[in-house]
Amino acid sequence: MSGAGRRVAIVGVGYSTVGRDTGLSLKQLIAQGAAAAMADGGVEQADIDGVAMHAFPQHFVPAYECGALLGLPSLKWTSGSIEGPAFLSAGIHAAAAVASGTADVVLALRPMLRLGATGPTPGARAAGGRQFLEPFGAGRPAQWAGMIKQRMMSEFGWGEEAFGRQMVAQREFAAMNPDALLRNRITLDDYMNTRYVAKPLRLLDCDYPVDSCGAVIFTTEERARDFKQKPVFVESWSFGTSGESDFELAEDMTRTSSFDAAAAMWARTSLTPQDVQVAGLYDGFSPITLNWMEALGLCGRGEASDFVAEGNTSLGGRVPVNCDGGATNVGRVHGVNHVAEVVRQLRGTSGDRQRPDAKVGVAANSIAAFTACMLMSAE
Amino acid sequence: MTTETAPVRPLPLIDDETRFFWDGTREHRLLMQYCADCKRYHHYPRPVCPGCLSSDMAPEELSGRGRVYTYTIAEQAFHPFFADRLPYVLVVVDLEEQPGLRFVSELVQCSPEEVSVGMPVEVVWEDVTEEVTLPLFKPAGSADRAVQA
Ligand SMILES: [Zn+2]
Repeated sequence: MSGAGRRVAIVGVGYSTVGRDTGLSLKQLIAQGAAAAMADGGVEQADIDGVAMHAFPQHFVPAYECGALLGLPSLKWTSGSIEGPAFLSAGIHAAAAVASGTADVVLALRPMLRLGATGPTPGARAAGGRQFLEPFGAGRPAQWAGMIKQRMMSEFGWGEEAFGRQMVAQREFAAMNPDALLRNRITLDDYMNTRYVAKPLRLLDCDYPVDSCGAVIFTTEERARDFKQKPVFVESWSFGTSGESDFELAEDMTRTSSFDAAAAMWARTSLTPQDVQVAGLYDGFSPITLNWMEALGLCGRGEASDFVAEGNTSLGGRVPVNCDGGATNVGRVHGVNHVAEVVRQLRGTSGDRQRPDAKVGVAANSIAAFTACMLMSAE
Repeated sequence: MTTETAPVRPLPLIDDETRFFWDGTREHRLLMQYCADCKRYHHYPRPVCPGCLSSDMAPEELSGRGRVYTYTIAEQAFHPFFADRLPYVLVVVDLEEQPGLRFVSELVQCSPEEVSVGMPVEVVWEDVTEEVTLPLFKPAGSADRAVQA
């Protein structure tokens, strides 16, 4: 357990309809996602006494409004965050609320509407820190991801294959996942032939923007017995932040705060990196996935390329990574999938994608300025 | 000359905290905040020194020399102004005054094939409007060529 407090379990995971241009509103997506997680866990409205929400500011629905939306009229605790590392921002708040005794059954939500490859509004002035990026044609996420990928390649002597092999492995998982949106198998050649967005970052290094709402339900070990799924326990977690709030200014781009989040997570558990058998590592951009392999100690610094090339992260490997296909293939549900698939794996319900005998798994979100990771176990 | 339809480069919304920087660039001087108490430069401009929380910070001029920490070649434009400038090179420059003191800019007078990590670079000025001059970078020691406005 993560320090003092009650042991936390995950008892339900689910998604709304996930797709491009679903025509669904944010509130429709939230209602669908919540209902799916509740149905998965056999959780009733009357059971839920807390809601944690993470969303981008332009697509934010306050957590208390979700309570009203979902017929949860008397919540003991709500939390809304527009900042931080994707779904785990809400997921860690929910787990901490349960551990502390502030709430007993918490619904954590991550809704989003598809964001295209938009940039600054023409004619608008760039304010705050943006004024040191946008006038130069910089500041888009794909561009800092390209900078990070380039730095990893230059510092570690990697080729683009380092990233391509992981993307090929994830598509192989996606081909076995009926819920994935991109399911045609690809080769390393296919990867190397896709266009660049911000060289060396290619289109196939990027996640797939969608409308979605993912939901995860957290409760205590004791209450978990009331629900229908085999509980998955949350062993430890941490956020990480860095001394610079802009991704482009990360002091050490091949390290970043992911290493600090992982160190803090490992410091609060008797489990070790060698115990991890399955992982959901953020793949908004593929360099982030490889960074987390090293941050979490699944392999050494600068060794993620070899770790992937040796097959460790593929189907049948020692630590399969992103076994649902990842956000590059199931769509940008923004970190929920990295928790949800690890939960399915630890339940032993991932079908053809199952990592045999998986008992310990880890999920991790984001890179650089804000990061988070969560360690889970089946027992 | 701009017409009504020609896309205009995104310009900074200059505020009290950043005015010294843009006042400096207009005079072709690269200025950054320097903390008198812990003797460190900071970028972007900020109200207190994150090293020691002192607010005794004043602009100091930098040499404008550094090395490429990393880069990316922009192959897709996210703003119409940059659409016909593709591909262009974005660099994170490690400025020589202090380890880890960085500046994000465009590398000009250098083809995408020529840029590399560790490459020495130096500032070159692009006067965009009467108000705004951008500090761009070019390979160190190369003869200055006119920059496309
Ligand atoms: Zn100071």
